[in-house]
Amino acid sequence: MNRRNFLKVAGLATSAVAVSPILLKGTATAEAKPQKKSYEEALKEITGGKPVKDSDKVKLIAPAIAENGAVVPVKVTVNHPMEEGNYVKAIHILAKKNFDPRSISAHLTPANGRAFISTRIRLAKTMDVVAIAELSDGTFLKAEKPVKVTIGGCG
Amino acid sequence: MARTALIKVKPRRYKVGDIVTIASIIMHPMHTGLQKDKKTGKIIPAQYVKKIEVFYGDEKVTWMDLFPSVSANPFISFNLKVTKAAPLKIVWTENDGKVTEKTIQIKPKG
Amino acid sequence: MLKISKFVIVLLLATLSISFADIHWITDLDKGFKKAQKEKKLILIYVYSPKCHYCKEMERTTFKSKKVQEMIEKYFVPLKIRKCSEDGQFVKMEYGYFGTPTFHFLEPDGTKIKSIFGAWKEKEFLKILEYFAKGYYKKMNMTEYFMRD
Repeated sequence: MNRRNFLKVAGLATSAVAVSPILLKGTATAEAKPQKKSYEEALKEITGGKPVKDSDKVKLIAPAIAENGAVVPVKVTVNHPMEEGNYVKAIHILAKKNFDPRSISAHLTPANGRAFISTRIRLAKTMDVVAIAELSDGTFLKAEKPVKVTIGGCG
Repeated sequence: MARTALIKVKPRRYKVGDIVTIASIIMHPMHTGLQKDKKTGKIIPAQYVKKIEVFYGDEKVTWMDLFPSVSANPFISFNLKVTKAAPLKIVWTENDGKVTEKTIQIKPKG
Repeated sequence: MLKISKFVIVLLLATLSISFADIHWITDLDKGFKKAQKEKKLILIYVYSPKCHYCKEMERTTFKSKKVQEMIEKYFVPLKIRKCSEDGQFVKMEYGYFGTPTFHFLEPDGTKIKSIFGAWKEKEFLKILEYFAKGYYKKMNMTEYFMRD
């Protein structure tokens, strides 16, 4: 599997034309399945209502300005051991104002060696991106970052 | 119709004890179920990759829940501690049950 | 009486300077390209549609910002091209079309650097302009630039 092929595929993926943010807003009709979820509801699904502390240990990297709201790179590293009995159990990434704020929940094990996730998410508009680290001892840590996207445009 | 999926390990040369980065991508539109087809005006039903599982040898080492907020052609990168020569298998499962699999070999040098 | 008339004059001048403050858009592609080459300035092409609400939004707010106007005047040759015009068709073929508003950033010789789609608030647009104006585009891509701490 050579590097050029991989980059070509990844490049194709990233050169996708900007998706109008309106596509991600709630245009669902009564019969449509997706349910609008508030950030608080999404958070509760993850934490079960437990407190979440802001922490420097959670390093969230996202562009301050995202030129294309359909493809926003997000990287999360958690500065915490990944040993048996003491590790980062999961990294959750949320987009506060999206129709469904949840984007990805990555469940990790000590086999990962490091608590790190890099991905690309869609943002319907300017909003905060939140990274939550779930530790094996049941505690939750987080970091937030505002990401600005275009106000909108016409197709 | 199988989905195109790719896995890449960085760096290309590594030994036991190293932590490598696994990059994965699957070509998939990730329909949110909120979008209307421009031609028909009908809602495009939700169709997205819902789960990704990573197996290193026999062990499931990482698994992820994905939601439609993930960009089209989901790209996910994570770390793996190299402990042995073994296959690394990634399984992508879509919300309608469709499955795509890809395996590469983890081959530590020296 | 003299004091009041002086005040009125000052006020009048101030009003005039505000009403004249606007981006000096060039609407002729050829003319704009020639100017850019002569002055060795970057080119900013603003592709708009008169029907587009978001273009109007930019013109109503962001383009009225003094800081934005100053930055554009200083570092760019600003071209305002209507999407459906002949020049617009050329721009579409040469640089791509992503909807309106689209901003194409070009080197002085017309080589494309990057295109950005969508309307932006003043603060963000200024930062985007700066990425090009200060030459950061030569060193890193825009996403990398905005991901720095």
